[in-house]
Amino acid sequence: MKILIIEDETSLAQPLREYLTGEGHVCEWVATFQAAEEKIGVYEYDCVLVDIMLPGGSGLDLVDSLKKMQPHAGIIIISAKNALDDKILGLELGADDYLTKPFHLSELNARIKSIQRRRQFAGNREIKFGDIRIVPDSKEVWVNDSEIVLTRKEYDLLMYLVANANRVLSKGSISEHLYGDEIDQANSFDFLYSHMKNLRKKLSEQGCPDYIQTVYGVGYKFAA
Amino acid sequence: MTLITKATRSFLLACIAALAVGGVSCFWFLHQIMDSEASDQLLHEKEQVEAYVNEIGFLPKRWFSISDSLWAVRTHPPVPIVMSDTVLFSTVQQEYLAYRQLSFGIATLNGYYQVNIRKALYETQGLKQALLWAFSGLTILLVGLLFFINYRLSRSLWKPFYRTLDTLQTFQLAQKEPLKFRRTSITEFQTLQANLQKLTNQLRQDYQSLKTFTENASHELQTPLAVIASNLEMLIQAPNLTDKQLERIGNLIETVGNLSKMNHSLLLLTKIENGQFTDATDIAFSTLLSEKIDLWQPLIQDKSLQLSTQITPNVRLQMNAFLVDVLLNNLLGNALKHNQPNGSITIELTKTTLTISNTGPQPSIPVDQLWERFSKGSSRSDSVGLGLALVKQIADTYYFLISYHFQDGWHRVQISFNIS
Repeated sequence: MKILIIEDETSLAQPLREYLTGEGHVCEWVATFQAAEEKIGVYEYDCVLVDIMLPGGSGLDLVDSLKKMQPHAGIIIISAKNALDDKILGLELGADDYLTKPFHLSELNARIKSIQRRRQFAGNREIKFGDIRIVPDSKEVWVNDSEIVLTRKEYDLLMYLVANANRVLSKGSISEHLYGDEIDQANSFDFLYSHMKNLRKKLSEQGCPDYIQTVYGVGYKFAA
Repeated sequence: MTLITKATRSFLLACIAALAVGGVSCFWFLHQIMDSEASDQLLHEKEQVEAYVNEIGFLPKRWFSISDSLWAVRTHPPVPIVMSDTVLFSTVQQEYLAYRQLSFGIATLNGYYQVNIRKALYETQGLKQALLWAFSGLTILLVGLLFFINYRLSRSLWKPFYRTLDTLQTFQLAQKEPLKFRRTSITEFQTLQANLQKLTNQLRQDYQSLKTFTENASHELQTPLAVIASNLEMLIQAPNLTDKQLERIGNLIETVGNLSKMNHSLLLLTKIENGQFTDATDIAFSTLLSEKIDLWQPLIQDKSLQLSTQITPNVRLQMNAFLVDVLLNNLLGNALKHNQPNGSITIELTKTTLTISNTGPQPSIPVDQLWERFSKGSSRSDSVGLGLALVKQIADTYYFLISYHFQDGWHRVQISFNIS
């Protein structure tokens, strides 16, 4: 996908760009409101990441004009503001998603993947990874032609792992994806171990190779 | 007591006191004057009798011109001059009537006489009574009228004040518009309104800037945190990292995670303190609690904890939905986190209280410090010590009473809802 990153903080835009390029996307980056306006006016993008507080203007205005000029582009707002008003306004203006800083790159990646999926045509909505086949519309998971019944959290976990395949994922990133901000880290890590254990068990019961590698001291890596 | 009642009451009391003192002393003076007048008259009549006797030599035969009642008794000298009061029964009026009597001796050509002259006092008594009635009637009328006028006047005078009060009562820190007072022609109230206007405007502005500061602080901290987190995340993707290096970066990632959670909790605390979660909805508390317990169930099983619940159905609370969520997550999270292997949790909800108890090691700090920010009852590094501070802040917001006890290896947190 062609992605435009509108973010004034260079040291944040840099890893963003690197991560997404690594995922096979084509990334462009601008740091100011004016530059963003020019880019949007000239080029078409599949997905745009917008920071709200920009030098020269508000990212919300960019969302508004993007929605008018490029209605098919996916829009993800990245903001340090966790203010509910901004969130609501942003989504009302037509943004697809709202991420509050600090966020995990893997989380952003998962959200972009989800936008990507929504943009694809119906019928082609299966995700394959090794022996695993996932049908997101019906939330079905198949291993070697037999269906695995997962709980909602286990399903979310698997989707997150698949979206960030071949990447090292920190425990914090996964547990935040699953449980949000409200549950503190100690409990959410415990949750994570428990879900990870169950998911592993359910997959291996159907003869699926163990794709979940434990990276000591950091987290996990999902790789064939 | 309202201002008008108080003023009216003081006015009435003062009136009554003034009139009582005034009335009694008036009556007393009147009495004194009339009394001495009666005596003077008797003495004057005595002089007239003496003058007559001096001139003519005999007692007057037609004494009506001198006195109402006069009689003379022949006697021997000396006769002292005696002034006395007496009552006599009147057959006409069928009652005892008061008289004053003066008796004195006088020598005439006929011999020595004791002369008695008598004067009815009841006439002056009637006068006094009539005066008293007139006085009381006038007093009642006067006080009534004054009272009425005073009351009406106070009401109309204080009306702008009460209107101002009503307007002030509608004031909310978060309101966007300044207060609009109704104009008044009274200078004092104009000053009051102007000052209130200034004060509330200042309050609104301060609140607004505090809010902006909170959000800005959030922004300023979140962005560097995002930079650190993203760069660390990129760093662990690098190939050829040794296990030692990976572990170190892992530690950093976890610490940044803790830091951003801490920042998040602190901002939340500030926002709750600022009253930024004012919108309350009717929360089906029993249902929500059960749902939360279901959510935590896998972890409870995973830690082999014994859970027993006793939830009264249909408990409803007027609260902010988000805050209820934070409250329950923290309480349940704590009960799990500070538990021991094969420990227990009991959750009890009644109409008025929520009690969550769990087994666990004794807290290492005094109980009354548990609610303070950054105070930790355990030495766990993954606990920042803001959870209970949040619980307390939320409880305070709704005037819930919250208590903590540790006894026989059980932590017990109880929240009493303020249902009134």
